[in-house]
Amino acid sequence: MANKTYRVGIVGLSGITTGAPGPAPWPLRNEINNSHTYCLSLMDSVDIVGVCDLVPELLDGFLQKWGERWPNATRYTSHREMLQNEDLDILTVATGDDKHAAVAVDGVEAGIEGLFVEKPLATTVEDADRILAACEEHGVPISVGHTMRWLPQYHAVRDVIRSGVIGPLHNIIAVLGGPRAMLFRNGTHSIDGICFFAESDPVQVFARLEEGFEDWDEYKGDGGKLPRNDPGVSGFIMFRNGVRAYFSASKNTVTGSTYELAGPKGKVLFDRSSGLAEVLLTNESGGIGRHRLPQGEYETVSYVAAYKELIGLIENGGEGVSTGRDARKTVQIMTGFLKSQQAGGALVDVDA
Amino acid sequence: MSEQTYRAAIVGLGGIAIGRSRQEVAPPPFAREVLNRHVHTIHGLPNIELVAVCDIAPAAVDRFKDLWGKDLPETRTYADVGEMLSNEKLDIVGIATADHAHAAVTVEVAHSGVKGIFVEKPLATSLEDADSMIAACEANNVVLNVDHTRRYRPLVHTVRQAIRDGAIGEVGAAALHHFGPVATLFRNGTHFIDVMCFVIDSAPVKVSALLDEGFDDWDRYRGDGGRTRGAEPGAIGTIIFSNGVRASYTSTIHNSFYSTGMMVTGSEGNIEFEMNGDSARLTTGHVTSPLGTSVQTIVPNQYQIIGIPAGYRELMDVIENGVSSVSPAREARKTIQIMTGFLQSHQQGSRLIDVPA
Repeated sequence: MANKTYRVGIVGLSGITTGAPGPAPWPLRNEINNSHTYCLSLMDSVDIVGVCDLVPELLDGFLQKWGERWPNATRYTSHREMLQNEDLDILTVATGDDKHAAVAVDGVEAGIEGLFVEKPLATTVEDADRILAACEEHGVPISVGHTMRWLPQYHAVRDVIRSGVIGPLHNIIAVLGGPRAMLFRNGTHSIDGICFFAESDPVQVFARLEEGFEDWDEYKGDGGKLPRNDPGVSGFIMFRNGVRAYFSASKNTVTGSTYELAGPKGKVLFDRSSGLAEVLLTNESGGIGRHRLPQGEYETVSYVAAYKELIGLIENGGEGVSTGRDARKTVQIMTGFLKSQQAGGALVDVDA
Repeated sequence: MSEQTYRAAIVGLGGIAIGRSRQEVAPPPFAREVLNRHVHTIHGLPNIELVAVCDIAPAAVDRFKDLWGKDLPETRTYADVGEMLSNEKLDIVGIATADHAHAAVTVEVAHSGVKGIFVEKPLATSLEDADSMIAACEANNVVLNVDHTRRYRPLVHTVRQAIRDGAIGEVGAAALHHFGPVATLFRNGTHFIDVMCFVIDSAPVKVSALLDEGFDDWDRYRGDGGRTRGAEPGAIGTIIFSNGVRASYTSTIHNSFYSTGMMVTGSEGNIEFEMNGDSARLTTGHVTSPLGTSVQTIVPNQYQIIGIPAGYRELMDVIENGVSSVSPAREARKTIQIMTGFLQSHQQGSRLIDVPA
């Protein structure tokens, strides 16, 4: 890697971008904290030169928490002004869920080299396509913050499926619970996980939103703030390769996220919260053997791995693990769920 | 239980009726395997005597004679149900005909003066059939119980009790998967959908579903009674219960891995079990708490009498003492509502529909 220092700008200063770690008990260091700024702080090839938010308190908060670590970070309330002044190499977009497209497209057109967009990529397929079109036109690599893709266990589970020990994948059941089990805000992680494991394109869906969201013929949320403004859901997803997946997000159940992945010769149970994954296979005596997958430990995971990967894409090209094309599938599915709800829960084609 | 001896008969002599539990291969010091077939059960239980069996197929009657002639030389065989009913003064009849033939036999038996009927699952293959069976039995004061066998095994009771005791808080969602060589909706899905109704403790209100490909003509049950493996579909579907719980069912005839289980999630945790397993896994606590989550294995007590023998024992107890049954036809009817609702939803493009009333 060249010794270049990448100039980073961040738009949207919520907890996911600016959260600071608590003290770690001796002799442990660097509590794992998945905020963008924290993870960038562990890297030496980046400099946060601009931060932007419409809310002045959040700009002040950034100064208090991170001013010492990032003395060059100029604060802005206009992302256009930041783009104009800072000659950014990398732009991170972490605004409200439905506001990503405008900021991302402005950034790409202003000449950034790499784009990081928080999840969900967008709340409409049109917005997703605007972002992807701009990136493709300007040759800018994009990574989307479906951060689980930078966790080792996701890959361990997918490697098991790819190995063929459970036979071709037939069914996926993904269950998300907790007060923030909101379709767009966090369901996008689970649905992206479904796509990650299914390795195919979504074709059709049928779904039922949480009661009270009957008017959601399109995304009508607040960008991801309040659970009451983003529905839970139960729905099925049909993939081109024949995989049929179920996804449920219920706010009235305990916080957690699990996957069950089944093929004709076995299945994988994966608890995303704990990282525990088990492979169940029929053993020689006709019973079911449970094999626990080892949890790999790596020095860079999560956003550190994501930003290192993005820099690698800028310098060397190639394909990232969480591309805009990947994330678009999740937008197709989520908006397909809305479409199905409007059709009385019927099986509908996702938008192409 | 009194010293009365019940006169019993079985109609429909397929494997579930006449197969022998392999008691002779039980290793010492064990006496025999659990009796999990009808004839063997009645032969093994006290206070009940198998006086007759009936099947329209002579070959099935011959198989019964081959298997049981030595042990049950007095048991008379019939090809005609009516003739058997008028000759035998029966108290209890087990019905194990083809799935879609339960109704006609049950109604005829109900009018013959019997006290109790133990019918194989699924109760029926249409709601009309189920209702005709229930009406005939209620009108004639006949107890009608259904062999959804898992209700006669300890695991689901232990799971349900844990949920009733608040182990996972308020129940919100459930996901059921059903895979294996015969993961078809009516023949075997009925077992697990029934367990779902039992554990969730509520009545189904709405459903939506998509059948396996190739079954678009299934505007009603079009199977062969459960005989042929590929003759009925698996399905994926959603069930919304009156207590607000959202449940899913995932099966397919294309996945032969033998695994069927369920996860029930509540406000304080979740409970997960394999339908044929010997324990359940209870996870409680919050990932955000300093202690994280805790996992316990719940192991049910063991009992001497489970399964089909427990079903016949209970039937006699209900007849004699009027106790309530764990698997009455009214409960099994919910499963028929769900399965036939699945067919209707599929016909309507998988729309979420009210279950047929």
